[in-house]
Amino acid sequence: MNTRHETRTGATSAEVGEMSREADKAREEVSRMTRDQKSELESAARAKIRGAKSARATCGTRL
Amino acid sequence: MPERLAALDSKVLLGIQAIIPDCVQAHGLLREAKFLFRATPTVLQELERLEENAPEFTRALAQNTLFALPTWDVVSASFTDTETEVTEIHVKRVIERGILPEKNRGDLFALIEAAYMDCPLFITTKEELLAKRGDLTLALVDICGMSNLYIFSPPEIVHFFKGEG
Repeated sequence: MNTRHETRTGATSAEVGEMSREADKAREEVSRMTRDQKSELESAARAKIRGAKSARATCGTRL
Repeated sequence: MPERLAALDSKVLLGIQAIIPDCVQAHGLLREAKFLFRATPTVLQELERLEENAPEFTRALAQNTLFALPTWDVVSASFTDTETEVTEIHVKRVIERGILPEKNRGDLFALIEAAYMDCPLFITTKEELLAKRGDLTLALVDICGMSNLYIFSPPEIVHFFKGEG
């Protein structure tokens, strides 16, 4: 698991630019996916959210 | 008091994680005003796609955004198959009506899902949505038969909720 950026206090303009371009690209890619492909992505995202909530409940700390 | 809901678009959520001032402030001010937040299924799918495929910084940002959603009072309910099908039909009809072109299909998915989640506010940085917000609000009422949903950018939310509007 990559946690290198978790303690960052802000992003550079180059990083914000990259994030913006990549987010636009992801929007276009996802909009062309089949319902099954979207469902797989969504399930993976929900599993991460559940995992983070569970870790918080166990450790009493914020990730 | 009924729940006050605002849907946050993908780049707004990533912007909160990246500590972009307008995004952080807009979220904070709405939170102070007792809003709760929604991430639509499309937004979750996009964050996961970024987490799987983007370059290192954006990938880490997307991952940390997903982890942080519950701490930001952001919730995302799953759609039923019927809701997904109806959303697809509405997206198609809005495109056929010429309000936005096919290339904005993903934007329309996020927007119409937000309307389905009963959010009166959709906060986005997407210029095309902001430029067509009047037509889109009317399209949601006329074509989709949904309640009003108003589209604003993070700076507009900050301006208004700081009492400057």
